[in-house]
Parts: sequence; structure tokens; C-alpha cells
Amino acid sequence: MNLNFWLPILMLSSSLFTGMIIFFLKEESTVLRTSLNLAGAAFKVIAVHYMAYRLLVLDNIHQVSFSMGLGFDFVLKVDFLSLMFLALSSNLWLVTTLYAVGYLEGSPNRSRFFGFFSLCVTACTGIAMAGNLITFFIFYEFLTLVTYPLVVHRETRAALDAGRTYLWYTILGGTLLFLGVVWLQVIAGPLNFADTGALETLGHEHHFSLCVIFLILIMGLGVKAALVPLHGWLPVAMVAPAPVSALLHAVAVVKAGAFGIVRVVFDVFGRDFSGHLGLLGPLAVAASITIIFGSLRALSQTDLKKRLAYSTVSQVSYITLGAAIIASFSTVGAIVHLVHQGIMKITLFFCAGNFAETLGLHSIRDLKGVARRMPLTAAMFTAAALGMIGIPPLAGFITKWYLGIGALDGGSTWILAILVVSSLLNSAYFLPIVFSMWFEEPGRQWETLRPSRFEAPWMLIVPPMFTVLAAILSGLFADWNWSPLGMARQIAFGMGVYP
Amino acid sequence: MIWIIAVFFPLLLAAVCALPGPGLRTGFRLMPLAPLPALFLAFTGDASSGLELSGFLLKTGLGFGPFGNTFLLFTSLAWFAAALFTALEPLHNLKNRAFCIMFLLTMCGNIGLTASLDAVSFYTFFAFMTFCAFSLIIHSGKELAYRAGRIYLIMAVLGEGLLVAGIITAVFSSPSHFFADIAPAMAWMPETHPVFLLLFAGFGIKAGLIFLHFWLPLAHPVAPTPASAVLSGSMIKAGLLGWMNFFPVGIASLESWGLGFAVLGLGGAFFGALAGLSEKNPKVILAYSSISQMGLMAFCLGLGIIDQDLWIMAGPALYLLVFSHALSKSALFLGTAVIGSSRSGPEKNLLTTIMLWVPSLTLAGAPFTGGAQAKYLLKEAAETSPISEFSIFLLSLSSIFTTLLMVHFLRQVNIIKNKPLSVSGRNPAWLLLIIIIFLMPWILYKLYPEYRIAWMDPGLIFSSAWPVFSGLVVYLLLKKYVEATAGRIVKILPDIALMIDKSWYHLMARIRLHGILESDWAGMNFSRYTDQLIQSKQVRKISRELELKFSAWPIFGMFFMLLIIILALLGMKGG
Repeated sequence: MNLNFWLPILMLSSSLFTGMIIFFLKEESTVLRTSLNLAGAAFKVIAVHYMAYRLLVLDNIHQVSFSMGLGFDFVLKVDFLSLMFLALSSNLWLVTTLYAVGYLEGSPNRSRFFGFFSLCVTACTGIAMAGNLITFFIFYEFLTLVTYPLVVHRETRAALDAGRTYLWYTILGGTLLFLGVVWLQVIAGPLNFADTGALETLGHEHHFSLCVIFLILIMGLGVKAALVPLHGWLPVAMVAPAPVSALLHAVAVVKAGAFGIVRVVFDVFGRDFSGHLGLLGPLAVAASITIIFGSLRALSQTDLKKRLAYSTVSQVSYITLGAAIIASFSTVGAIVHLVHQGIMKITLFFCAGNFAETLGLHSIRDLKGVARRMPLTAAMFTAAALGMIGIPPLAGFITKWYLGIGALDGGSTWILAILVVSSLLNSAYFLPIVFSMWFEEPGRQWETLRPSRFEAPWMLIVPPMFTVLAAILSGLFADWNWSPLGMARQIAFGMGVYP
Repeated sequence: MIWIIAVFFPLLLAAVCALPGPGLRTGFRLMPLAPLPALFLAFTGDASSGLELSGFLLKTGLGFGPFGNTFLLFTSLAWFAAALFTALEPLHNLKNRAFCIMFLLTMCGNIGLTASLDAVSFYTFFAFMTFCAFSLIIHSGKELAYRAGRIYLIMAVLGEGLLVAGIITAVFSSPSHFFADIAPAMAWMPETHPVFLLLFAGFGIKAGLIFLHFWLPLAHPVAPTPASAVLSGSMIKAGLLGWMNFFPVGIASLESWGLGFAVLGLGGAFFGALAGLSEKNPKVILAYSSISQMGLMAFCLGLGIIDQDLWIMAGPALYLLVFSHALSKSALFLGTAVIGSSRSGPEKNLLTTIMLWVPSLTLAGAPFTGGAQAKYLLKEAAETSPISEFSIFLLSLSSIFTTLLMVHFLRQVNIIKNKPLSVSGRNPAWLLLIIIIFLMPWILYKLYPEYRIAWMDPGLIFSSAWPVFSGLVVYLLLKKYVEATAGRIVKILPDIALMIDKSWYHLMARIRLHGILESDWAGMNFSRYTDQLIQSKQVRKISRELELKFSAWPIFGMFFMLLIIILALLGMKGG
């Protein structure tokens, strides 16, 4: 019983207990709630960094495991990939909390909101640290349940509808996932993520079952990862408040699905073995269809948040696509896009929230000339949008570069074409927004809903500043060992071995 | 360190401009300093003084590539002239924060790409320059500028798409992303590999290659004059540099691609001149002249690609062409603002016109100008090439056409006054540029002593004099006829810009209003479908009937009995 055991537990409890305490706080005790929230978030960030230090420098292995009966073990084990996802979720949780405090100022039911908000991050932390599929599944379902109250937070008709759709999809996905997990357990016995390759011995005997299990697992995870045609809940769920959408699209739900796919492909089946079973080709096709379809749908949206939602459908599948190519470069691309998509998309949603909250702008048509009123927000939106398109030196370019080289390495040149077409479509739906924000004449007077000293309340400005800076720097200094790319390379190639 | 300063110093000044309060005024005045570190480096740096920045992008190299300091030299000179011009003569709409910042950012991109030693940073600076230049093009805010900007942006994005695919393929097939490794790797590629097409077209858009050029005469003239000067003078050469960096120039012979460059280049040279002759606006004429001159450069590059050994001759010709064109075109563009000034009297205008003749004659390649050296070397290279039979004649013909175009420009610039701008004919930036161009033969002689520059050679004087002279004569005698014929010939080519513009709107409308994409089906909202299913009449009827049936005693009893039997069986089996 030492820090190797307690640190993962502490990580979980830092948000779990904050969440629980917040439920019991009175609605008016804003200061206490905010400080609790921020303290929890800050603690988690520090803990993640300390854990990173212990793992990377001191080579300590953080592990918690005990049996839950029936041959199922509860395992938390921190590896590089967990660490990356942990760092992403804890850092973004901190900025999103700050944003949410500013965003929801004075609105009802804040204790409920922040309580579930904390639980949501607990679930993410659990997903990141899960050491086997069943543990992953537990937190995955936990995530489904605790995000529901966030989606329906506004309690409007549309929100409740969206919540029902959300549950409908995710519960179904969870059921499929559970089926897959149990079936795999029956065939292969308990499997930790760490023992990659254990399935290969079964490949001959259970070829067909393994294929079906893979399909079921991917379908179960694909619901959250918004693979077409399982993506229907995502654009509907954007009725949630902006910080929720931001978190949902950047780290929590969507990313949990994508992270799960990465885990299943890389750690449960193993990339080469999945390829051997002939499963990655169809997965790549599904991801490509999702990428193109999401972009096409995004083009026809007139509501800003809805367009961003479809853009998420498209962009998250870059991760799946990268996982589906048998080449180390695309593995790097997939892993690094977990982070890159997160920081860019969260910036876009923060900015969309700023427009909506300060000036009441929701439709893209209303954004004409908004840069004159809110230059900083518009600039941040522009940078993140250009990053999404994949224009160097922003983060999105790095992903595209690695996926492209990986596609050639894996011998699937057509994926390069998909990437280019996707970039073109991304430009087609992002650049008109950027253009109209900066260069078109505003067709109306701005009515400020929330007066403040700056263009928007500072709590709405600072968080996107952090995330957009992260998006710029992680592209600009991608070659640095501890940039997201550096981390991803260490995961894919091993320490200190770069091509 | 000096490389970092040279490339990123404009960014620092852009930051100064962005400061509130007096920041803009300071930054505006300091703008001419921005390209000076790069200029200094271009003169003093040597090939081995490069720098490798690990940690930046995917590991960046800055320095002189295999093509030496020429590109950095003319890029920084052109930008210096344009920046000095802007800072000394604040045209009413240029002392503007957005313009200053974007001007400096574009400068950083342009200088950065000429100093890049690896594909990733080259592409980064290239994209940075392309997108920043967009805001310069639409700066005036007029409808014409918006249309030009839209077409520019569409072409830029298409170009980026082609380039990213091409560059990824090129880097994938070579050991690293440094140009030093890419060029030899490209030499091993079969000529039919699509990577060549991607790079050819991708950079061709920027370089104004014929059939991909149509955005250029729209975009270059609508920008504010200093921006037009650098767009046409220096930024356009980024496409050329891209070709040179990625094609195995001087390492391998790619006959068909070289021929493609040469033929399309010459085609562009003539088309640009003809199209320019049919125009009235001096700035548009200059833009077409850029297309024409870039065509000559593409031809020259093509010679070097057809046969690797020819590069020894084509290379120097290309450097001189690029250098003289960059400075002359900048001077001509700035000249349109100078001569358009309403405050200068007729006698001053005469002086300005005379001064404008200097860069015009340089472009035409008249004797005793820098252009003559360039064209002489080009002809020498063409003479030894496998396609010498027709190319020599066509080159002389193109010189005649260039002369025609330049005289046409000089006439138009005097007839049609541009917008009344408050620029005096004594703008030091402009004067400096004219002096440099005037002294160019001497400067080239000093800069490139190894290029056998002999500007007093009688053969050279004769061969450069007669095309210019005949061009002058033809224009004076057949002015009307030439313009009308040019207009007729140019009309053969469809208006591609219009087509692009229309197809963009059409495509967007189609996608937005497409039945399938907009339908309920595409929303994939399964929960709504289940709702519809559950609430449909059929389902309700069936469920009601089933319920009635099941509630009948006999059926219930039967199920109950069945259940007991099954349980009993299970119990027996277990026991």
C-alpha cells in the first residue's frame, strides 16, 4: 500500500467526492462550490503531472486490482496511453470548469450541474486508467448515466428529447459492449490491456467468434465515437449548455468511444492481429465514410453548434481511421488526434458559447462581422478552425501529416485521398464562417446580453485562450519530446526511438 | 540565431503593431526594418551557415538551400521596397492595424519559405503566406476585391489539398523530410508517378501556370499597391521555388515533365502577353505580364528538368530572370501608384514615365539592362537543349511580345489615371528601386561573377536589341490592330474564373439542398423511429389483440403448465 496504489485512487476520488459534496450544497453557496470545484480540478491536474513524473522518470507502475468474482477483475493500471488521456481530461476539466462557472452564472440548478459534471470527469478518469475491458465497461456505463443530467440540464422540451435519444443510443451501445466483453471473457478468460497478443493463440480456433466479438465491441463503442450510422444522438445532444457540449465533444463521451476503439484495436486484439483477421479494412472504410458524411452534413447546417457537432462526427473518426491502418505512423496519428481534436474542438465550442452567451448569436448567418465586436473570440475561433482544416503549423496538420504518411506506409493510398477531400470539405464549411466573421458588414446592432469590461466576461475568455494556445503550440513545437506528438511517438515507437 | 531573427523579425513588428495605443504608429514606421535582417543575411550568409531547430515543427532547417541566396535576396529586397513605400507614404487606407499586421505576417511567411531547408517548414510558411495574403487582397472591401478573394481562396485551398498529398507522398518515399534527401529520392521515382502531377499542379497554381492562372489577374491588381508589388514580385515565385525544391533539378532528367514545363511555360508567356494587350487597367496588364514572365521561368526550369546537364546553364539563367523580374515588377506596380498621383504636374509625370521605362525595358530584355543578361543566358541554354529548333525562335518572339506589352502598359498608365493617391514622385522607396534596376547589370556582375556576364558584348547587344526594337516599331504602327487581335485570340480560352465562381455556388447550393443529406433519414435519429413505430396504428392494434388473447384462461393455463414442465425437466437434469 503505497503511492503506486493510492495515486490512482486519489485521482478518481478527487472528482468523485467533490461531485458528491457539491450535490448537498445549497444553490446560493456559489463561492464554496466554485472553490471546491476548482480545488478538485487543480488537484487532479497536479496529481496527473506527479503521476507522469513517477511513471516516466521513476518508472513506477501504478496499479490497483481486486477480484469482483466470476473471474472478473477490477484493474486500474496507468500506462502511457492512459496518462495521455488523463492529462487531456484533467487539464480540459480545469478550463471547462472555469468556463462553466462563468457561463452558468445566475442560472438555476447549478449544484446538480456541477455535481454531475464532476462525476462525468470521474468516469473519464476511470476510463483512462482502466486496465481491462470490464473495468473500462463499468466506467463507460457510469459515464453514460452521469452525462444524461448534463444533456437535459435546461429541462426544455428539446433538451429532454435529446436526452432520451442520447440514452436510447448509449444504453444500446453499452449493451452491445457488455455482450462483447462477456463473450470475450468466455472465450479467452480474463484479459488485461497489458497482455496484448494473448488472443493470437486463439486465432485459429475461434476465428469467426473473434471477428464477431470485434464487430460487436466496435459497434458498442462506435455509438459514442459517433461512427455513421450510429452518430444520430450527437447532433441532437448539442442542445446542452456550451460547456457540456465542449466537454462532450472534446474529452468525455465522444472521446471515450474513440479511446475505447483505440484500446480494443491496439491492446485487446493487437493491431497486427486485427489486421490478420481482416477486420481493419472494413473499419477504415467505416471511418472514411463517417469522415466524409459528417463533413457533408456539416456543410448544410445553419446553426453554429450543429455544424460543429457534425464536424466532430467527422473529426473523431480520424482517430478510428488511424487505428485502422497497419502502420506505426498512423498509430501515432490516431493517438495524437485524441489530444489535438480535443483542444481544437473545445476551443470552437467555447467560442460558440461566447457568441451565444454575450450576444445571443446562434445561427451562422448572425455571425456577420462579429469580429468587430468580439475580435479575440473571433481570432481564437479562426485559429481553431484553421487547425481543424489541417493548415500548418496548427495541431490538426500534425495529425493529417502522420495519418497521411501512415496511409502510404500501410499501402492504402486511397486514405490519403480521403484525408485531402476531408480537408477540402472542412475548409468549405469553416472558411465561410471565418470570412463572414471578419470581413462582412454586420447586418444589425449587437445587443449585449451580459455586459462586462472586456468583450465577454473574463471567465469565458480565459479558458479558450488556454486551449487555443495549446492547439497552436502543440503544432508549432510538435517535435518536442513532451508535446502530444512526442508522447504519441513514445507510445507507438517506444521511448527515444523516432524515425 | 541570426536565421531565427531573419525569419521571425516581421512577427515581432506585427506584435508591436498589435499593441494598443501608439503601437500601431510605431509599428507602421518601423515596418521597413522587418525584412532587413533577412536582407543582411542574404548578402553576408554563406551556404554552410544554416541552422537546425529540433523541437520546432517536425524538426526545422533554416538556411540557403541548394539554390543559394538568390531567392532570399530578391524576396527581402522586394519586401523592403514595398514596406518602405508604405511607411513613407501613408496611403489613406493603409495606415490600418489589420493591413499592417497581415502585411508583416505575409512577409514572415514569404521570407520563411525561402529560407526553409525541409518540406514541412516550407509548406508551413507557404500556407501561412497564402492565407495571410488573402486579407491583403480583399483589403479594399469592394465587391470586386471580394470576388477576387473568393476565387483566390478556392484556388488556394485546392492547391493546399494537392500540395499536402504531394508533399506527404514525396516525404514518404525519402529518408527524411529535408530537401537534401527529398530531391535524390524523387530522382528515383518513375516519371509516371502521380506525385509529380500533384506537385506540378499544386505549385502551378501559385506560380500562375497557364490554365491555373486565372485567379491571378483578379487578385493581384485589387490588392493595395504595395501588396500587389510583393504579390507579383516575390510571392508568386514561391511556386517556382516549390517546383525547384521538389523536382530533382540537376540530379535527374525527367524528359516528359521537363517538356511539360517548357511547353506550358512558353504557352503562358505568349498567353500572358496577349491577354495583357487586350486589357486597359495598368495593374491588370502588369498581372498578365507576371503570368507571361513566370511562363518564361517555367520554360527555363523545364530546360533544366529535361536534361540534368542543362541545369548548369539553365540555373543561372533562371536566377537572373527571377531576380530581374522580381525587382522590375515591384517597381512597375509601385510606379502605378506614383504616376497615378494627382498632385504631380505634367512635367513631373514625364519624369516618372521616363523612370518607368527602366523596369519596363529590363523586363523586355533591352540591351544594357539586367533583363538582357537573363534572356541571353536563357537563349544560350535553349540553344543546347534538345528542343532548340523551335524554342530559340519562340523566345525571340516572346521578347517582342513582352516589349509590346510593356509599351502598352506605359501608354495605358498615362491615359488612365488610377485612383488619386497622395504619393509623390519622389518616394525614396521607388527611387531606390529604380536605381537598383538601373544598376542591375553591374550588380549582377558583382553578385554572380561566375555566370560569364558580359554586357558589353556586341553579340549580346544585337541579339537583345532587335526584338525590343521590332516590338516598338510594331506597336507604333499597328497599335489598334495588335490590341484587337490580342483580344480576339484571348477570348478563345473560356473564363475559368467565372466557371469556378459559378460552380462553387452551384455545388454549395446542391449540397445544402440535397434531398438525401437534408432528409430525416440522414439525421439517423433512431429513437424517433422507434417512437413512430410504437405509436403506429398497426403496432397498437397487434399489441391490443395479443393482450386480449393472452388474457384468455386456456392460453394462460397452457403457458403455466408448460413452465412447470420445463422447470421440472431442468430440475431432473440438474439433480
